[in-house]
Amino acid sequence: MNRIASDSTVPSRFAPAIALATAALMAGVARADLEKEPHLDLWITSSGGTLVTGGWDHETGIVVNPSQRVFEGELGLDPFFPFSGDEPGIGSDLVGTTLTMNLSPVLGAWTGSSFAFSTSMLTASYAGQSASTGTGGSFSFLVSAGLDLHPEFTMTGPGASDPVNGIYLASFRVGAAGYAQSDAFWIVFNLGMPEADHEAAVEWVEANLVPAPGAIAMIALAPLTARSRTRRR
Amino acid sequence: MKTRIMIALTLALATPALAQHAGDIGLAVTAGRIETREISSAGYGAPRRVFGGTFGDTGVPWFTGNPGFDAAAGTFAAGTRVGFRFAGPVLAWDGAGFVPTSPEGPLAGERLQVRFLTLSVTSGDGPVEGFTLAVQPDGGWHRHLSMTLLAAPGAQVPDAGVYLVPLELTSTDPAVAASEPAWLVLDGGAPAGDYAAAFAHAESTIDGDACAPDLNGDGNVDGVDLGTLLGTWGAAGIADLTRDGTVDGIDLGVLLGSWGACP
Repeated sequence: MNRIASDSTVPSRFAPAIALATAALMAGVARADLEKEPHLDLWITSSGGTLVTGGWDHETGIVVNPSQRVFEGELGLDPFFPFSGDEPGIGSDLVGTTLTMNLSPVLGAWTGSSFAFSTSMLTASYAGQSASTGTGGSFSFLVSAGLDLHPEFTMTGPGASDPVNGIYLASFRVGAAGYAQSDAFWIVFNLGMPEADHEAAVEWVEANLVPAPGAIAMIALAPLTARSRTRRR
Repeated sequence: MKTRIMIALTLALATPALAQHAGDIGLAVTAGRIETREISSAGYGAPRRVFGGTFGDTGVPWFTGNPGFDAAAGTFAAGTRVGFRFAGPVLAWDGAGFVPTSPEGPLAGERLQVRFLTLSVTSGDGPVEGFTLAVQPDGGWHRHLSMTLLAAPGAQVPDAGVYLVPLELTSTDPAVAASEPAWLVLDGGAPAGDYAAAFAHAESTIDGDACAPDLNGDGNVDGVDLGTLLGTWGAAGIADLTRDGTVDGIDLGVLLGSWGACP
Protein backbone atom coordinates (compact mmCIF):
# COMPACT_ATOMS: atom_id res chain seq x y z
CA MET A 1 0.00 0.00 0.00
CA ASN A 2 2.73 2.44 0.88
CA ARG A 3 5.24 1.40 -1.69
CA ILE A 4 6.93 4.33 -3.37
CA ALA A 5 7.97 4.05 -6.99
CA SER A 6 11.74 4.37 -6.96
CA ASP A 7 11.85 6.99 -9.69
CA SER A 8 9.72 9.40 -7.72
CA THR A 9 12.84 10.89 -6.16
CA VAL A 10 13.87 13.56 -8.62
CA PRO A 11 16.80 15.97 -8.89
CA SER A 12 16.28 19.56 -7.74
CA ARG A 13 16.53 20.83 -11.31
CA PHE A 14 13.14 19.29 -11.85
CA ALA A 15 11.63 21.35 -9.06
CA PRO A 16 9.83 23.74 -11.43
CA ALA A 17 8.51 20.81 -13.36
CA ILE A 18 7.35 19.20 -10.16
CA ALA A 19 5.52 22.34 -9.19
CA LEU A 20 3.97 22.51 -12.63
CA ALA A 21 3.05 18.87 -12.50
CA THR A 22 1.57 19.20 -9.08
CA ALA A 23 -0.44 22.19 -10.19
CA ALA A 24 -1.66 20.33 -13.24
CA LEU A 25 -2.54 17.24 -11.27
CA MET A 26 -4.23 19.25 -8.58
CA ALA A 27 -6.19 21.44 -10.97
CA GLY A 28 -9.43 20.41 -9.37
CA VAL A 29 -9.36 19.86 -5.64
CA ALA A 30 -12.99 19.52 -4.64
CA ARG A 31 -14.00 16.06 -3.55
CA ALA A 32 -16.08 14.24 -6.11
CA ASP A 33 -17.53 11.61 -3.76
CA LEU A 34 -17.75 9.12 -6.59
CA GLU A 35 -18.82 5.61 -5.87
CA LYS A 36 -16.30 2.84 -6.44
CA GLU A 37 -16.44 2.08 -10.15
CA PRO A 38 -16.02 -1.29 -11.81
CA HIS A 39 -13.32 -1.59 -14.49
CA LEU A 40 -14.90 0.23 -17.40
CA ASP A 41 -13.76 1.25 -20.83
CA LEU A 42 -13.68 4.85 -21.98
CA TRP A 43 -16.79 6.21 -23.66
CA ILE A 44 -16.59 9.47 -25.59
CA THR A 45 -19.66 11.45 -26.57
CA SER A 46 -20.73 15.07 -26.67
CA SER A 47 -22.88 17.15 -24.37
CA GLY A 48 -23.97 20.52 -25.67
CA GLY A 49 -21.12 20.61 -28.15
CA THR A 50 -18.46 19.67 -25.61
CA LEU A 51 -16.76 16.30 -25.63
CA VAL A 52 -17.31 14.35 -22.43
CA THR A 53 -16.09 11.00 -21.14
CA GLY A 54 -18.02 8.22 -19.49
CA GLY A 55 -17.56 4.71 -18.23
CA TRP A 56 -18.65 2.08 -20.72
CA ASP A 57 -19.32 -1.56 -19.95
CA HIS A 58 -17.92 -3.21 -23.02
CA GLU A 59 -19.72 -6.47 -22.35
CA THR A 60 -23.20 -4.96 -22.34
CA GLY A 61 -22.56 -1.87 -24.43
CA ILE A 62 -24.12 0.24 -21.69
CA VAL A 63 -22.63 3.53 -20.56
CA VAL A 64 -22.73 2.83 -16.85
CA ASN A 65 -21.36 6.14 -15.62
CA PRO A 66 -21.90 8.97 -18.12
CA SER A 67 -19.60 11.38 -16.26
CA GLN A 68 -16.69 9.10 -15.41
CA ARG A 69 -13.27 10.69 -15.74
CA VAL A 70 -10.98 8.17 -14.02
CA PHE A 71 -10.14 4.88 -15.73
CA GLU A 72 -7.93 1.91 -14.97
CA GLY A 73 -5.34 0.05 -17.00
CA GLU A 74 -3.28 -3.03 -16.22
CA LEU A 75 0.20 -3.39 -17.66
CA GLY A 76 2.28 -6.53 -17.89
CA LEU A 77 -0.53 -9.07 -17.62
CA ASP A 78 0.93 -10.89 -20.61
CA PRO A 79 4.50 -12.02 -19.81
CA PHE A 80 5.39 -11.46 -23.47
CA PHE A 81 4.80 -7.74 -22.88
CA PRO A 82 5.94 -7.10 -19.31
CA PHE A 83 5.45 -3.32 -19.47
CA SER A 84 2.51 -3.02 -21.85
CA GLY A 85 -1.23 -3.41 -22.10
CA ASP A 86 -4.16 -2.48 -24.31
CA GLU A 87 -6.79 -1.49 -21.76
CA PRO A 88 -8.87 0.54 -21.30
CA GLY A 89 -10.52 0.36 -24.68
CA ILE A 90 -12.38 3.25 -26.27
CA GLY A 91 -15.91 3.46 -27.63
CA SER A 92 -17.91 6.37 -28.97
CA ASP A 93 -21.20 7.19 -30.63
CA LEU A 94 -19.79 10.12 -32.61
CA VAL A 95 -19.75 8.16 -35.86
CA GLY A 96 -17.94 10.02 -38.62
CA THR A 97 -15.98 12.23 -36.22
CA THR A 98 -12.20 12.14 -35.99
CA LEU A 99 -11.22 12.20 -32.33
CA THR A 100 -7.77 13.26 -31.16
CA MET A 101 -6.45 11.96 -27.86
CA ASN A 102 -4.10 14.53 -26.35
CA LEU A 103 -1.72 13.11 -23.77
CA SER A 104 -0.35 15.44 -21.09
CA PRO A 105 3.46 15.55 -20.77
CA VAL A 106 3.17 14.94 -17.03
CA LEU A 107 3.29 11.41 -15.65
CA GLY A 108 2.60 10.80 -11.98
CA ALA A 109 3.85 7.93 -9.81
CA TRP A 110 1.89 6.79 -6.76
CA THR A 111 3.69 7.31 -3.46
CA GLY A 112 1.19 5.49 -1.30
CA SER A 113 -0.62 8.67 -0.33
CA SER A 114 -0.54 10.85 -3.46
CA PHE A 115 1.16 11.15 -6.83
CA ALA A 116 4.64 12.56 -7.44
CA PHE A 117 6.28 13.56 -10.70
CA SER A 118 7.73 10.54 -12.50
CA THR A 119 10.69 10.52 -14.86
CA SER A 120 9.47 7.28 -16.39
CA MET A 121 7.53 7.53 -19.63
CA LEU A 122 4.20 6.23 -20.83
CA THR A 123 3.65 5.84 -24.57
CA ALA A 124 0.20 5.44 -26.08
CA SER A 125 0.14 4.09 -29.63
CA TYR A 126 -2.47 3.41 -32.26
CA ALA A 127 -2.06 2.46 -35.92
CA GLY A 128 1.45 3.82 -36.29
CA GLN A 129 0.80 6.98 -34.27
CA SER A 130 2.18 7.45 -30.78
CA ALA A 131 2.18 9.99 -27.97
CA SER A 132 4.42 9.97 -24.93
CA THR A 133 4.56 11.68 -21.60
CA GLY A 134 7.62 13.86 -21.25
CA THR A 135 6.89 15.63 -24.51
CA GLY A 136 3.16 15.11 -24.72
CA GLY A 137 1.51 14.35 -28.01
CA SER A 138 -1.59 12.96 -29.60
CA PHE A 139 -3.07 10.27 -31.80
CA SER A 140 -6.25 10.36 -33.81
CA PHE A 141 -8.86 7.98 -35.12
CA LEU A 142 -12.14 8.08 -36.98
CA VAL A 143 -15.17 6.87 -35.10
CA SER A 144 -16.85 4.11 -37.06
CA ALA A 145 -20.05 2.29 -36.14
CA GLY A 146 -19.45 -0.10 -33.28
CA LEU A 147 -16.06 1.38 -32.46
CA ASP A 148 -14.04 -0.71 -30.02
CA LEU A 149 -10.54 0.68 -30.18
CA HIS A 150 -7.66 -0.51 -28.06
CA PRO A 151 -4.60 1.73 -28.00
CA GLU A 152 -1.37 0.12 -26.87
CA PHE A 153 0.15 1.52 -23.67
CA THR A 154 3.80 0.91 -22.81
CA MET A 155 5.91 2.09 -19.87
CA THR A 156 9.63 2.73 -20.13
CA GLY A 157 11.97 3.79 -17.35
CA PRO A 158 14.36 6.75 -17.37
CA GLY A 159 16.88 6.50 -20.20
CA ALA A 160 14.83 3.78 -21.90
CA SER A 161 15.53 1.41 -19.02
CA ASP A 162 12.96 -1.05 -17.77
CA PRO A 163 10.37 0.74 -15.65
CA VAL A 164 10.04 -0.09 -11.98
CA ASN A 165 6.83 -1.58 -10.73
CA GLY A 166 4.44 1.09 -9.62
CA ILE A 167 1.16 2.82 -10.21
CA TYR A 168 1.28 5.56 -12.79
CA LEU A 169 -1.10 8.38 -13.61
CA ALA A 170 -1.53 9.80 -17.12
CA SER A 171 -3.86 12.63 -18.08
CA PHE A 172 -5.63 13.04 -21.40
CA ARG A 173 -8.05 15.39 -23.09
CA VAL A 174 -9.96 14.50 -26.22
CA GLY A 175 -10.64 16.96 -29.01
CA ALA A 176 -12.41 17.02 -32.37
CA ALA A 177 -13.24 19.58 -35.00
CA GLY A 178 -16.60 21.15 -34.27
CA TYR A 179 -16.56 20.27 -30.58
CA ALA A 180 -15.11 21.91 -27.49
CA GLN A 181 -12.28 19.85 -26.03
CA SER A 182 -13.12 17.62 -23.10
CA ASP A 183 -12.06 18.27 -19.55
CA ALA A 184 -9.07 16.26 -18.43
CA PHE A 185 -9.58 12.59 -17.72
CA TRP A 186 -7.13 10.19 -16.19
CA ILE A 187 -5.95 6.63 -16.63
CA VAL A 188 -4.36 5.00 -13.60
CA PHE A 189 -2.02 2.24 -14.77
CA ASN A 190 -0.91 -0.61 -12.56
CA LEU A 191 2.45 -2.19 -13.29
CA GLY A 192 3.02 -5.17 -11.03
CA MET A 193 1.50 -3.80 -7.85
CA PRO A 194 -1.22 -5.30 -5.64
CA GLU A 195 -4.67 -4.48 -6.88
CA ALA A 196 -5.55 -2.96 -3.51
CA ASP A 197 -2.87 -0.32 -4.09
CA HIS A 198 -4.23 0.31 -7.56
CA GLU A 199 -7.71 0.85 -6.21
CA ALA A 200 -6.40 3.17 -3.50
CA ALA A 201 -4.65 5.27 -6.14
CA VAL A 202 -7.81 5.39 -8.27
CA GLU A 203 -9.83 6.51 -5.29
CA TRP A 204 -7.27 9.22 -4.56
CA VAL A 205 -7.59 10.55 -8.09
CA GLU A 206 -11.37 10.49 -7.91
CA ALA A 207 -11.31 12.31 -4.60
CA ASN A 208 -8.62 14.87 -5.35
CA LEU A 209 -8.48 15.56 -9.07
CA VAL A 210 -12.04 15.22 -10.32
CA PRO A 211 -13.97 18.39 -9.52
CA ALA A 212 -17.32 17.78 -7.92
CA PRO A 213 -20.32 19.16 -9.85
CA GLY A 214 -20.58 22.02 -7.37
CA ALA A 215 -16.96 22.90 -7.88
CA ILE A 216 -17.42 22.95 -11.64
CA ALA A 217 -20.34 25.32 -11.27
CA MET A 218 -18.31 27.60 -9.04
CA ILE A 219 -15.41 27.59 -11.47
CA ALA A 220 -17.77 28.41 -14.34
CA LEU A 221 -19.45 31.18 -12.39
CA ALA A 222 -16.27 32.71 -11.04
CA PRO A 223 -15.54 35.01 -14.02
CA LEU A 224 -19.13 36.20 -14.06
CA THR A 225 -19.00 36.91 -10.36
CA ALA A 226 -15.77 38.83 -10.76
CA ARG A 227 -17.20 40.84 -13.65
CA SER A 228 -20.31 41.62 -11.67
CA ARG A 229 -18.24 42.91 -8.80
CA THR A 230 -16.22 45.05 -11.16
CA ARG A 231 -19.33 46.64 -12.60
CA ARG A 232 -20.67 47.48 -9.16
CA ARG A 233 -17.60 49.54 -8.34
CA MET B 1 -42.57 -18.31 -41.38
CA LYS B 2 -42.83 -15.13 -39.39
CA THR B 3 -41.17 -16.61 -36.34
CA ARG B 4 -37.67 -15.54 -37.37
CA ILE B 5 -38.91 -12.04 -38.08
CA MET B 6 -40.53 -11.84 -34.67
CA ILE B 7 -37.38 -13.13 -33.01
CA ALA B 8 -35.27 -10.65 -34.89
CA LEU B 9 -37.50 -7.73 -34.01
CA THR B 10 -37.75 -8.81 -30.38
CA LEU B 11 -33.99 -9.08 -30.06
CA ALA B 12 -33.46 -5.76 -31.77
CA LEU B 13 -35.78 -4.06 -29.32
CA ALA B 14 -34.64 -5.87 -26.20
CA THR B 15 -30.86 -5.58 -26.41
CA PRO B 16 -28.67 -2.55 -25.79
CA ALA B 17 -28.21 -0.55 -28.96
CA LEU B 18 -24.52 -0.16 -28.30
CA ALA B 19 -23.41 -3.74 -27.66
CA GLN B 20 -19.88 -3.65 -28.95
CA HIS B 21 -18.76 -7.24 -29.31
CA ALA B 22 -21.24 -7.53 -32.18
CA GLY B 23 -19.26 -8.10 -35.34
CA ASP B 24 -16.31 -9.62 -33.55
CA ILE B 25 -15.31 -13.21 -34.09
CA GLY B 26 -16.68 -15.26 -31.24
CA LEU B 27 -14.51 -18.08 -29.97
CA ALA B 28 -15.80 -21.15 -28.17
CA VAL B 29 -14.32 -24.57 -27.47
CA THR B 30 -16.49 -27.40 -28.70
CA ALA B 31 -15.43 -31.04 -28.44
CA GLY B 32 -11.86 -30.03 -27.75
CA ARG B 33 -11.58 -27.70 -30.70
CA ILE B 34 -11.82 -23.94 -31.11
CA GLU B 35 -14.98 -22.99 -32.94
CA THR B 36 -15.63 -19.59 -34.45
CA ARG B 37 -19.09 -18.16 -33.90
CA GLU B 38 -21.04 -15.12 -34.86
CA ILE B 39 -21.66 -12.49 -32.22
CA SER B 40 -24.69 -10.29 -32.52
CA SER B 41 -26.21 -7.86 -30.09
CA ALA B 42 -28.02 -10.90 -28.69
CA GLY B 43 -24.70 -12.52 -27.77
CA TYR B 44 -22.94 -15.60 -29.10
CA GLY B 45 -24.74 -17.26 -31.95
CA ALA B 46 -24.30 -20.12 -34.35
CA PRO B 47 -20.97 -21.40 -35.67
CA ARG B 48 -19.75 -19.15 -38.45
CA ARG B 49 -16.59 -19.01 -40.49
CA VAL B 50 -16.93 -15.87 -42.60
CA PHE B 51 -16.50 -12.43 -41.05
CA GLY B 52 -16.31 -8.94 -42.49
CA GLY B 53 -14.12 -5.90 -41.96
CA THR B 54 -13.06 -2.70 -43.66
CA PHE B 55 -9.59 -1.25 -44.09
CA GLY B 56 -9.51 2.41 -43.11
CA ASP B 57 -12.54 2.14 -40.83
CA THR B 58 -10.80 4.27 -38.19
CA GLY B 59 -9.36 6.73 -40.69
CA VAL B 60 -5.97 5.08 -41.18
CA PRO B 61 -5.58 3.89 -44.78
CA TRP B 62 -5.11 0.15 -45.25
CA PHE B 63 -5.30 -0.45 -41.53
CA THR B 64 -7.98 -2.05 -39.40
CA GLY B 65 -8.31 -3.65 -36.02
CA ASN B 66 -11.61 -5.27 -36.95
CA PRO B 67 -13.04 -7.74 -36.63
CA GLY B 68 -11.80 -8.35 -33.12
CA PHE B 69 -11.85 -11.67 -31.35
CA ASP B 70 -13.83 -12.44 -28.25
CA ALA B 71 -14.14 -15.46 -26.01
CA ALA B 72 -16.34 -15.38 -22.95
CA ALA B 73 -14.91 -15.84 -19.47
CA GLY B 74 -14.15 -19.47 -18.77
CA THR B 75 -13.63 -20.44 -22.40
CA PHE B 76 -9.90 -21.11 -22.07
CA ALA B 77 -7.66 -22.20 -19.23
CA ALA B 78 -5.96 -19.35 -17.41
CA GLY B 79 -2.24 -19.37 -18.08
CA THR B 80 -2.62 -20.63 -21.63
CA ARG B 81 -2.34 -18.52 -24.76
CA VAL B 82 -4.55 -18.14 -27.80
CA GLY B 83 -3.34 -17.03 -31.18
CA PHE B 84 -3.64 -17.52 -34.89
CA ARG B 85 -1.89 -18.74 -37.99
CA PHE B 86 -2.42 -17.85 -41.62
CA ALA B 87 -4.00 -20.95 -43.16
CA GLY B 88 -2.87 -19.82 -46.59
CA PRO B 89 -2.03 -16.75 -48.64
CA VAL B 90 -4.16 -13.63 -48.81
CA LEU B 91 -6.47 -13.80 -51.81
CA ALA B 92 -8.24 -11.12 -53.84
CA TRP B 93 -11.74 -11.03 -55.36
CA ASP B 94 -11.78 -11.06 -59.16
CA GLY B 95 -15.54 -10.82 -59.65
CA ALA B 96 -16.11 -14.54 -59.75
CA GLY B 97 -13.95 -15.98 -57.01
CA PHE B 98 -10.92 -15.44 -54.80
CA VAL B 99 -7.56 -15.67 -56.56
CA PRO B 100 -3.93 -14.91 -55.68
CA THR B 101 -3.21 -11.22 -55.26
CA SER B 102 -0.85 -11.35 -58.24
CA PRO B 103 -0.63 -13.64 -61.27
CA GLU B 104 3.01 -14.15 -60.27
CA GLY B 105 1.91 -15.52 -56.91
CA PRO B 106 0.97 -14.29 -53.42
CA LEU B 107 4.39 -12.88 -52.61
CA ALA B 108 4.28 -10.66 -55.70
CA GLY B 109 1.00 -9.11 -54.64
CA GLU B 110 -0.55 -7.66 -51.51
CA ARG B 111 0.10 -9.32 -48.16
CA LEU B 112 -1.31 -8.78 -44.71
CA GLN B 113 0.80 -7.78 -41.72
CA VAL B 114 -0.70 -8.60 -38.32
CA ARG B 115 0.82 -6.92 -35.30
CA PHE B 116 0.30 -6.65 -31.57
CA LEU B 117 2.75 -4.50 -29.61
CA THR B 118 6.19 -5.97 -30.40
CA LEU B 119 4.92 -9.04 -32.25
CA SER B 120 4.45 -8.96 -36.00
CA VAL B 121 3.87 -11.55 -38.70
CA THR B 122 3.13 -11.23 -42.41
CA SER B 123 1.20 -13.60 -44.64
CA GLY B 124 3.13 -15.63 -47.20
CA ASP B 125 2.55 -17.97 -50.09
CA GLY B 126 1.24 -20.72 -47.82
CA PRO B 127 0.51 -21.33 -44.15
CA VAL B 128 2.42 -19.01 -41.82
CA GLU B 129 2.56 -19.37 -38.06
CA GLY B 130 1.25 -16.31 -36.23
CA PHE B 131 1.63 -15.49 -32.57
CA THR B 132 -0.21 -16.05 -29.34
CA LEU B 133 -1.48 -13.71 -26.62
CA ALA B 134 -2.22 -14.51 -23.00
CA VAL B 135 -5.66 -15.66 -21.97
CA GLN B 136 -7.21 -13.29 -19.45
CA PRO B 137 -7.21 -14.36 -15.80
CA ASP B 138 -10.94 -15.12 -16.06
CA GLY B 139 -10.43 -17.44 -19.03
CA GLY B 140 -11.76 -14.96 -21.58
CA TRP B 141 -9.87 -13.58 -24.54
CA HIS B 142 -10.70 -10.28 -26.18
CA ARG B 143 -8.26 -8.91 -28.73
CA HIS B 144 -8.14 -6.49 -31.61
CA LEU B 145 -5.09 -7.20 -33.74
CA SER B 146 -3.53 -4.46 -35.84
CA MET B 147 -3.92 -5.51 -39.48
CA THR B 148 -2.21 -3.61 -42.28
CA LEU B 149 -2.48 -4.52 -45.95
CA LEU B 150 0.96 -4.20 -47.50
CA ALA B 151 1.31 -3.06 -51.09
CA ALA B 152 2.76 -5.37 -53.71
CA PRO B 153 6.53 -5.05 -54.07
CA GLY B 154 7.26 -1.89 -56.02
CA ALA B 155 3.80 -0.44 -55.56
CA GLN B 156 3.03 2.59 -53.43
CA VAL B 157 -0.32 1.40 -52.12
CA PRO B 158 -2.39 -1.77 -52.39
CA ASP B 159 -4.90 -2.09 -55.18
CA ALA B 160 -8.47 -1.30 -54.24
CA GLY B 161 -10.45 -4.49 -53.91
CA VAL B 162 -11.81 -7.18 -51.65
CA TYR B 163 -9.30 -9.37 -49.84
CA LEU B 164 -9.76 -12.71 -48.15
CA VAL B 165 -7.58 -13.72 -45.21
CA PRO B 166 -7.80 -17.35 -44.06
CA LEU B 167 -6.98 -17.70 -40.36
CA GLU B 168 -6.92 -20.59 -37.95
CA LEU B 169 -7.27 -19.81 -34.28
CA THR B 170 -4.85 -21.73 -32.08
CA SER B 171 -4.30 -22.44 -28.40
CA THR B 172 -1.20 -23.46 -26.48
CA ASP B 173 -3.44 -25.75 -24.42
CA PRO B 174 -2.65 -29.25 -25.70
CA ALA B 175 -6.26 -30.22 -25.00
CA VAL B 176 -7.59 -27.59 -27.41
CA ALA B 177 -7.14 -28.08 -31.15
CA ALA B 178 -6.96 -25.27 -33.68
CA SER B 179 -10.12 -24.07 -35.36
CA GLU B 180 -11.11 -24.77 -38.90
CA PRO B 181 -10.06 -21.86 -41.10
CA ALA B 182 -12.13 -18.71 -40.64
CA TRP B 183 -12.27 -16.29 -43.54
CA LEU B 184 -11.89 -12.59 -43.03
CA VAL B 185 -13.37 -10.77 -46.01
CA LEU B 186 -11.88 -7.29 -45.87
CA ASP B 187 -13.05 -4.33 -47.92
CA GLY B 188 -10.16 -2.35 -49.36
CA GLY B 189 -12.07 0.41 -51.10
CA ALA B 190 -13.89 -1.86 -53.52
CA PRO B 191 -17.08 -0.77 -55.25
CA ALA B 192 -19.98 -1.48 -52.91
CA GLY B 193 -21.47 -4.16 -55.11
CA ASP B 194 -18.16 -5.99 -55.31
CA TYR B 195 -17.86 -6.34 -51.58
CA ALA B 196 -21.41 -7.61 -51.19
CA ALA B 197 -20.87 -10.15 -53.98
CA ALA B 198 -17.53 -11.27 -52.59
CA PHE B 199 -18.92 -11.70 -49.10
CA ALA B 200 -21.90 -13.67 -50.34
CA HIS B 201 -19.57 -15.86 -52.39
CA ALA B 202 -17.36 -16.55 -49.40
CA GLU B 203 -20.33 -17.31 -47.22
CA SER B 204 -21.87 -19.71 -49.68
CA THR B 205 -18.52 -21.39 -50.23
CA ILE B 206 -17.38 -21.92 -46.69
CA ASP B 207 -20.48 -21.75 -44.55
CA GLY B 208 -22.64 -23.60 -47.01
CA ASP B 209 -25.46 -21.14 -46.53
CA ALA B 210 -26.18 -20.06 -50.04
CA CYS B 211 -29.31 -18.22 -49.03
CA ALA B 212 -28.42 -16.36 -45.84
CA PRO B 213 -30.46 -13.30 -46.92
CA ASP B 214 -33.61 -15.43 -46.71
CA LEU B 215 -34.19 -14.10 -43.25
CA ASN B 216 -37.57 -15.73 -42.65
CA GLY B 217 -36.52 -19.07 -44.10
CA ASP B 218 -39.36 -19.35 -46.64
CA GLY B 219 -37.10 -20.21 -49.55
CA ASN B 220 -37.29 -16.79 -51.16
CA VAL B 221 -35.39 -13.56 -50.73
CA ASP B 222 -38.18 -11.07 -51.10
CA GLY B 223 -39.95 -8.04 -49.70
CA VAL B 224 -40.50 -9.64 -46.31
CA ASP B 225 -36.76 -10.11 -45.88
CA LEU B 226 -36.18 -6.58 -47.12
CA GLY B 227 -38.65 -5.27 -44.55
CA THR B 228 -36.85 -7.12 -41.79
CA LEU B 229 -33.54 -5.68 -42.91
CA LEU B 230 -34.83 -2.13 -43.08
CA GLY B 231 -36.49 -2.57 -39.69
CA THR B 232 -33.15 -3.23 -38.05
CA TRP B 233 -31.18 -0.63 -40.02
CA GLY B 234 -28.20 0.68 -38.09
CA ALA B 235 -28.36 -2.02 -35.43
CA ALA B 236 -26.99 -5.54 -35.23
CA GLY B 237 -29.14 -8.60 -35.67
CA ILE B 238 -30.26 -11.29 -38.02
CA ALA B 239 -30.10 -8.96 -41.03
CA ASP B 240 -26.46 -8.12 -40.35
CA LEU B 241 -25.40 -10.43 -43.15
CA THR B 242 -21.76 -9.40 -43.12
CA ARG B 243 -21.58 -9.81 -39.33
CA ASP B 244 -19.80 -6.51 -38.93
CA GLY B 245 -22.15 -5.41 -36.16
CA THR B 246 -24.35 -3.05 -38.17
CA VAL B 247 -27.15 -3.52 -40.69
CA ASP B 248 -26.16 -1.16 -43.47
CA GLY B 249 -25.91 -0.67 -47.19
CA ILE B 250 -23.55 -3.58 -47.66
CA ASP B 251 -26.07 -5.95 -46.13
CA LEU B 252 -28.71 -4.43 -48.37
CA GLY B 253 -26.46 -5.13 -51.34
CA VAL B 254 -26.00 -8.76 -50.27
CA LEU B 255 -29.75 -9.18 -49.90
CA LEU B 256 -30.58 -7.57 -53.23
CA GLY B 257 -27.88 -9.64 -54.89
CA SER B 258 -29.67 -12.80 -53.77
CA TRP B 259 -33.17 -11.60 -54.71
CA GLY B 260 -35.57 -14.31 -55.74
CA ALA B 261 -35.84 -18.01 -55.07
CA CYS B 262 -33.00 -19.59 -53.12
CA PRO B 263 -30.80 -21.97 -55.12
